[in-house]
Amino acid sequence: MITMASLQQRGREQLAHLQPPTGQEEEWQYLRPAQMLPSVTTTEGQPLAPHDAPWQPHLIPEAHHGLWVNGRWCCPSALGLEQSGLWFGTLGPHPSEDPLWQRLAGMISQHPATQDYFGYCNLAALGEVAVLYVPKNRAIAQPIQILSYAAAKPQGDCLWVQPRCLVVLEAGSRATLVETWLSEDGAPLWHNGVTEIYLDDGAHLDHVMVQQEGSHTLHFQTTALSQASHSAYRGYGMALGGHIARQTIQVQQGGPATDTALSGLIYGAADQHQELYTTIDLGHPHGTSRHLQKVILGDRAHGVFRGKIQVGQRAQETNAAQLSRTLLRSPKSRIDTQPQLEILADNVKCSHGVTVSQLDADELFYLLSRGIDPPAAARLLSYGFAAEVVTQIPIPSVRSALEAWLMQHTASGL
Amino acid sequence: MIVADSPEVLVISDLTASVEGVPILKGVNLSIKAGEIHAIMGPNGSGKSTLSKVLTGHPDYEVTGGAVHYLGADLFALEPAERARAGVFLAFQYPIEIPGVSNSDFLRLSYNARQKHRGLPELDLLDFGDLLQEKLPIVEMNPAFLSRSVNEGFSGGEKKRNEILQMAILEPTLAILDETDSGLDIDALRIVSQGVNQLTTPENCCLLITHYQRLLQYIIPDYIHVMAEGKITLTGDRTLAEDLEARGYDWLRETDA
Ligand SMILES: Nc1ncnc2c1ncn2[C@@H]1O[C@H](COP(=O)(O)OP(=O)(O)O)[C@@H](O)[C@H]1O
Ligand SMILES: [Mg+2]
Repeated sequence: MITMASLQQRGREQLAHLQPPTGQEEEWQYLRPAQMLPSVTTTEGQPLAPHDAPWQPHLIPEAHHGLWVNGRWCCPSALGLEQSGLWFGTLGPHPSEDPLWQRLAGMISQHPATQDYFGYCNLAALGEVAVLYVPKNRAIAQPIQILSYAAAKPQGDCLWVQPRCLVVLEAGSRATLVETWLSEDGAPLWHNGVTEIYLDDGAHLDHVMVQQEGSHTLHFQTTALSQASHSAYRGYGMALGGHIARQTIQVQQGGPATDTALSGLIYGAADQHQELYTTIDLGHPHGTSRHLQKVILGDRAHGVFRGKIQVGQRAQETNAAQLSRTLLRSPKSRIDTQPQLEILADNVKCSHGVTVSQLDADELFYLLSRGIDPPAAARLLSYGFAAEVVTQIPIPSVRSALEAWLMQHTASGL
Repeated sequence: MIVADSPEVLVISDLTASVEGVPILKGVNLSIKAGEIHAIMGPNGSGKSTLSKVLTGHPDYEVTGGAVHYLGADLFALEPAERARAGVFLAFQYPIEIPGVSNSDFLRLSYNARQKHRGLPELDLLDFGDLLQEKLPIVEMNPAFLSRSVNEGFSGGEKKRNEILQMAILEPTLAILDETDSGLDIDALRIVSQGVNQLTTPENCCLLITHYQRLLQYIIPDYIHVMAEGKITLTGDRTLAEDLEARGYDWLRETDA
């Protein structure tokens, strides 16, 4: 029988052979976890006063909610197994012999993207796993939001939170998932989250990710996705916060005619460092993928985007497109961006593009010539640059919250 | 219209300007009073657009000498956005596309900037919507263009109409129209000209820049100036346009010689 303890045990065993990356590794050249990770950590966060819910403004009104507070699942499951097989809740410390419980637990840490130092750190600390399970041919109309909120004790050790989510959509089912990552400014915090997603044949997932961590947070997030044939994934990644933040998204297309779409915005200001590493592995015929990544950097912010596309030998008649566009708003902001294509099949369409630009002088002048002040003009242009990805987000309240956030934040950082 | 004793809006004296160190304007003199419509004609490359960019403060153009007074004050003491808020408007020869910014947001932002400057109340979305509904017929614009990104995917004629819509909303004291007629078919030309004619009053003035006489059949200027090689070489009334049309700009060079 699989239990949380047995999974933890596996994590600890694996960790025994692993070291944090040193920076020698190609994909870790801009971050050196071995030198950078906090040596002393705690799992005790700032206790909350009763009725205090600083995450409240970030809850999506139209969604079902699940909540991690300081790394602990603290929400009774909003929907239970009873609702015709749909499950939104947790796998917890009390193991069950229920076949579904065991099957889901057996999927944890099976995705290769979770089998690295950070994935096993998360596994070794496993307490509960947030689960969204949608049975065959069911569609949930309401979005499911999983929100992680953390606050470290002032002057305390670095708070280490490691939320873990498992999303399983059975054949022909459909759901919308929103993951929101928040933390308080000021005190040091390390978020090391893992989300594993399995989409069976013909399943469809819309997945919105909003990272608005606090100014002292080190944010690592692994999103590991496995798609069966004819399934569709739409990922919307908004990386806005944190001090140092890195998201890894790995997609494995496990059958023919699978469709993967990613669109994202990285927004960096002050001395933020934001990384996004994506891998889309198209291993079967008629697979498609599209990725549009926007990056806006101001002040001394540094952005890194690596988008790897692998087209295996059997993946004939696939179509993969990737475009990354960066707007550098200040002379000291910096981007490292590079597509990486590994194509083994011959009958494929693969396109990629990279642009890096500054605020356009003629666009600015046009706005000035209409009486709009330079800071407002720069804000409007930055907002317009981001709009293409923000307007794609399928949940109106999330979209308008992001638009408001952008309107407010693009005013500074020049 | 020429109005007796009307105040001077714009006085340009011996203006010289250069681009990337190359002198383009070589001593321009021109004065425009409230109520008047002036046209500047001249061959391509003579400096007409440069004059419009210098007056509105484009950073690529460097003023090297002379002075410009707008409503009695030094125009160059104002930043570009301040000039606009003080009532200087340029309808661009090539209007700029701004992806991701909706035309109505852009229009409202510029309108409110001007309102604030005048000490008048700014309009919220709803009230501004009403104002737009009132102004759209001036250029016969389809409201669908309001929710699209500024000028993005607009045809040449739609872009020019959008410029005149902005003029209608901002109600400038000095409107400079740079080749607003170029690339327009007869219908669009009629719409744009009617728009401009509706917007001219005894209080404001208009500087039309054009290469062709065609526009001047729709908008009747009080004065026509000919610009050549960075200077105004000839000033006359509207009949000058017909001479130019009949005889071409070369005729001027011959008379120079
Ligand atoms: N931004 C610029 N950079 C370089 N040269 C310019 C620029 N703008 C205008 N010029 C030059 O200045 C001269 C006058 O141009 P312009 O004012 O556009 O003439 P017109 O509008 O009368 O056709 C031309 O020789 C043109 O090449
Ligand atoms: Mg010109």
